[in-house]
Amino acid sequence: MRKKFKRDINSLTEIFIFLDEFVAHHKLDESISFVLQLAVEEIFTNMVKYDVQNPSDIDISLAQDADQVVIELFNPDAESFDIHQAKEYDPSLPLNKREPGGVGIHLVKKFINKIEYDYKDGISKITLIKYLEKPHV
Amino acid sequence: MDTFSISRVNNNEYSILYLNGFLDAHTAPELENEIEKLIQEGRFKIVVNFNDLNYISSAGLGVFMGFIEDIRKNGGDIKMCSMSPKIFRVFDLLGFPTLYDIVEEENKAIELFKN
Repeated sequence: MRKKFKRDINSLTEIFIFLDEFVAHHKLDESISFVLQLAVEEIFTNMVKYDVQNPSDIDISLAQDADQVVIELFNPDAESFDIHQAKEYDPSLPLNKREPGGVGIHLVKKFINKIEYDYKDGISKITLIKYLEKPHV
Repeated sequence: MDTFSISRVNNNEYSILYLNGFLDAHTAPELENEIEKLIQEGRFKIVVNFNDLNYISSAGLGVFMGFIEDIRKNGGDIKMCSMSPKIFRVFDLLGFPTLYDIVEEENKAIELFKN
C-alpha cells in the first residue's frame, strides 16, 4: 500500500486511517498497530516540522512479508538528514538538563527493530522495519 | 481510530483530567490549552487519569514536560494514574517514572496530594 499525504500535521488523521486499513488487511495485532502509529507519526511530524516551506507531499509505503512489516517514508525535495546522526536523547537526565528535540526519534529507535536511511535525487527516504513475533504453536 | 477528548473534575484542592482516545501531534494542543486554563485559574494540583487513553506520542508527552516546572514552582504537581501497559511503556522509555509520580489508581494519586 502506498499513499501521498499533504505535508501538514492535520494529515495525521488520514495517516492513522491508512495505517488502520493496513493493520486490518494483514490482521496484525493491537501491539503492532500501536508501534506503527507511533513510528510513522514521529517520523512524519519531523519531516513536516523541519521542512515546513516544502510544498511536496510525503509518500508513505507499507508492506508486510512473513515475519516483518516494512514502512518507507519518502520526503521529496528535502535536505539530507540521516536519522542515525540525530543527537541521542538521554532519558536519565533531570528535567532541567533535558533539551527539547530528539524525543520522538528516541521512541522510534526503541520500538522499531531496524532503521535504514537513503538519500538519492533529492529524496530523503527512511525505512522502518518491525519484526513480527511468530505465533506460538 | 479514535478522536481525543478531555473532561475535568474540580475538587477544592485538586483537579482531575480524564484523557480519552488519541493524544498525538494533532490533538496535543487541546491538552495544552486545558492545562493552561488550570494554571490561569491557579489550580496547580493536577491528577491526570489515562484510563481511556489509547495512544500517546512524543507530542503528548511534551505537554507534560512543558508545564511541570511552572506548576511545581507554584506548589503543585501533576500526578498520573491508570495507564495501560502500552501507554506506561512510552512514559517509561523516556524516564518519566523518575520525574513524576505514576500510580495505578486514581485515589492513590489523590492521596499523594494529601500527604
